[in-house]
Amino acid sequence: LEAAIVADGPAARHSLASALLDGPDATLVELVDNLLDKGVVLDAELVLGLAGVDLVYVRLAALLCAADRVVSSADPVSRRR
Amino acid sequence: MKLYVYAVTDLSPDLTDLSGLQHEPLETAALDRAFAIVGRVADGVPPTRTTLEAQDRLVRAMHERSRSLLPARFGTLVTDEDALRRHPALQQDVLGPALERVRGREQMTLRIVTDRPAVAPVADEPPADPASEGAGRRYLERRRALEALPEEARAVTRAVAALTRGERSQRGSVAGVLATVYHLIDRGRSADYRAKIAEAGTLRQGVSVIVNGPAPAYAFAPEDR
Repeated sequence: LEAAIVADGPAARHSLASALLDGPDATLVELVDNLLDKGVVLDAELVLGLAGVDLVYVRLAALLCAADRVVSSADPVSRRR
Repeated sequence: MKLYVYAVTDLSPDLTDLSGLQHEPLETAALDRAFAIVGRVADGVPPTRTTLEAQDRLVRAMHERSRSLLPARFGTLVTDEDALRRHPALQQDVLGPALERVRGREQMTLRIVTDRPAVAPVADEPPADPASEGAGRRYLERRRALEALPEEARAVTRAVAALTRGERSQRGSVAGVLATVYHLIDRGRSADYRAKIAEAGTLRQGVSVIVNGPAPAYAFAPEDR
């Protein structure tokens, strides 16, 4: 995955979003967004419990409007959709 | 054993040199005029960076071997083939248009970020269904979706309109992200897409556009049912 800033300003470079989306976590942001918040959803077990999930996912998920996908899955083992 | 679902395709690809997240052999389960790519496992794996990267690599390999592929969400397990075939989301009336939409295409992602205060979130705009809706309605839906986005996002979207074959978008809800726009483009056109974004020029002070891709069409799966 390749990320590129096309146009920005000094303030943007220091924002949380820019830091995450263009920094070392950029690839992880895309992984979390694509694999945990997108894709075909079946009425099946989703192994997305918080146990074993680094807090960075919660932070990234919140940034990507996907917090409910991870944070609401309070059941540490699994959840059903 | 359960079935871990990786993706859905319109044709059964050659998977002989690929193995799953738990090194299980991959196989295809026939659906109604489509196939699910699955592995037989005892249980799922937790979503760590390593497992997310591994599944992404697998899905990309599957994407390269398929003309039309819809990735499944990470961690999707079903009990057996019957459960897979019965599922409403995997019926032809749902899968057919979605597979047609992504055929020969790949996903680009635009994130428009800023240091300005947060904006209120709105729901995803559903993708238009070209098989069942008229051109006028599609135009109006596209226009409505664009109008729901901030001007910065609309300006960037206009710059790549000629390359765009499908679009989904969502506004940000957290300080820093104005919007995320997902585009379907023809495979092999990502360099042209990036060039068009670059040609669009400088945005307002403090506003940035971050381009990612190409990737399989993760954001163009059928809507949740």
